[in-house]
Amino acid sequence: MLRLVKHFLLAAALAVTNAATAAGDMMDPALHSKAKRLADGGLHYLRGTQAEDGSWSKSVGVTALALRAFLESHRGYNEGDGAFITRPVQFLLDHVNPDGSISETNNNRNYNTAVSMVALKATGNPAYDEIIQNSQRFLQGLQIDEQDGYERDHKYYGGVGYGGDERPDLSNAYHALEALKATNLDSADPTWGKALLFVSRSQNNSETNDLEFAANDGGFAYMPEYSPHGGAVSYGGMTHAGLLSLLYAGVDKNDPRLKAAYQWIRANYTVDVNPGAKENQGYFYYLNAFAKAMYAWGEPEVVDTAGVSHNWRNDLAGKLLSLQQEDGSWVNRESGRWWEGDPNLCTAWSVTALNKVVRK
Amino acid sequence: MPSDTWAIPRLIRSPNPVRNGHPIAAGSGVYGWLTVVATVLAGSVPLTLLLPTMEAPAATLVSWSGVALLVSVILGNSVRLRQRPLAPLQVAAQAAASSLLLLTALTWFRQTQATPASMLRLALATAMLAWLVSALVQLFSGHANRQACAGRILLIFALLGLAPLWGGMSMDVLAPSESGAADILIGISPTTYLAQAVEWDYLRSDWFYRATPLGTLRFEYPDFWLSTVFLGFLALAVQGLGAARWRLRPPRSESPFNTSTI
Repeated sequence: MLRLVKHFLLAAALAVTNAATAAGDMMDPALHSKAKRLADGGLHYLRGTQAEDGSWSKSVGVTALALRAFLESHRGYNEGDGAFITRPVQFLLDHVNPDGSISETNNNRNYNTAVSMVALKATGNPAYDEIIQNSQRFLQGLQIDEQDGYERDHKYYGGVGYGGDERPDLSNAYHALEALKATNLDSADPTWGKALLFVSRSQNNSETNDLEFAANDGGFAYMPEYSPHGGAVSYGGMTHAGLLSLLYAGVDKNDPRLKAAYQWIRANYTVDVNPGAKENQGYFYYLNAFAKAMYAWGEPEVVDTAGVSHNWRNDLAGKLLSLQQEDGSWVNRESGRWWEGDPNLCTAWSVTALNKVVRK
Repeated sequence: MPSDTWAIPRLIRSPNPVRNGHPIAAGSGVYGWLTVVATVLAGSVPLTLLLPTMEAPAATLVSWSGVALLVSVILGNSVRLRQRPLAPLQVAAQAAASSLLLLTALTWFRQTQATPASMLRLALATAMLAWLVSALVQLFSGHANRQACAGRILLIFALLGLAPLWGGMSMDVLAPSESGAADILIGISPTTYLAQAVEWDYLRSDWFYRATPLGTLRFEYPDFWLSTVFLGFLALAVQGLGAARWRLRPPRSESPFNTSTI
């Protein structure tokens, strides 16, 4: 009898603890349900715009992003669910090239390969392991280093570009690092160290950047000494991409680079615009990177520099709720740069962000 | 003498600016030549000095091929250097040879790392553009005033070559990203054709990415070989038209000092 009471008390204590933990990590319960429906709406839209061959927007990159949105959703879609998953997978496989890249074009090879790797990994199917490994080698080959004739002190060193020119940038580097992390590249691989040099040089932080920088605000530019929004200004999309890149490379949260980046995020916290960007360019890219960065950072609340606490999940879900169109899609109506005039792409970005929101 | 009323539309007749003393037309010829000189200098100096070769290896290849193109067209149509201008195909061959020579020299002196295949494609691209330019010069001028006409044609080509720059800003604002307008703007540029010869994504290179927003939009470069076939047919048609035109009208003296009238 006593043992039974003990077991009951223990179980009750555990239940209370779990509930408290869940409540602490989770968002407003009503918003949580709405966020799931938002994601469902976006996925429904994507089902409707999917081509016969399973692709979206005739693009390997957009297809991979949309596929990832399905695979990581709260519905737990997988290849067993039907053609709407197997066809885009096959579309990606049909564009595997002998050099390991996964792309339909010589340009955008890095983006296409990186997001395809993440999508294929998300299927959980070991049949794609060899393709993924080859793609890893391709991305590592794109990284600028001594083999390309660059020394460590060059501003390009360690960076990754689009693939059709040598010019690297933080966005391409971030996607490449995300793919390498998702596909379990050895943490001791020198790729990470080289990438850290480039990522650090893209940060406006005098303490850790050995190049000239625009401002000492801890945020990130598009690449060393350049931002498409003027000079080398820091902006939201790249700052969250930079934070994620540092985390992927194994940098500790107490590292001055990460602390400076998070400080910038606190000082510029918003989900209404891409902070620092002209005409809200790259807004959905920003929301996607924001969600991933906040999720990876691991704290449910962000206290901005004015001392106001923000539940990032609530804020992001509420914002995406206000932006979703009647057909379930999202699109950037202020700027078509970086393909954000394409509803398939913006919807894929948004659903992937929502997948992070609803996940504990 | 054949009558003036031949079948070819008036709009393609040479204005003959120097002999007729039309100041605007004469000025445009002079301006064209100034542009040619500036472009030659621009192609050879700033790109290779301001952008270290290492950061823009493909840019070096393309810019020097552009120089070879310009020099070949200039030399082929110069009345001061030769009694009779070179035929369009001769200019094309000259352009290909000088392009190959320059690229080989650059590779030899390790200014760039071009593969033989890319050098050959670039030489072919230079030749095709030189052929088309020379055929247009022949069509619009015959053998008279070829220098001024060549200057004007090259000016137009230079403007088309810069189309991604001057057209890029308006594309960002006016055209939806999926409209294909960006593809057209990029496709008409000779710079695109030369860049595709070496598979260089030039719109996303450092300098161009900063100078034009086109690199941030969705577009497709035209296929190099399809472009080559298209240019070949176009040059052939233009050359044929030019030959037919000047068969009906005897060529005038090439001397710039000739003041005789028909």
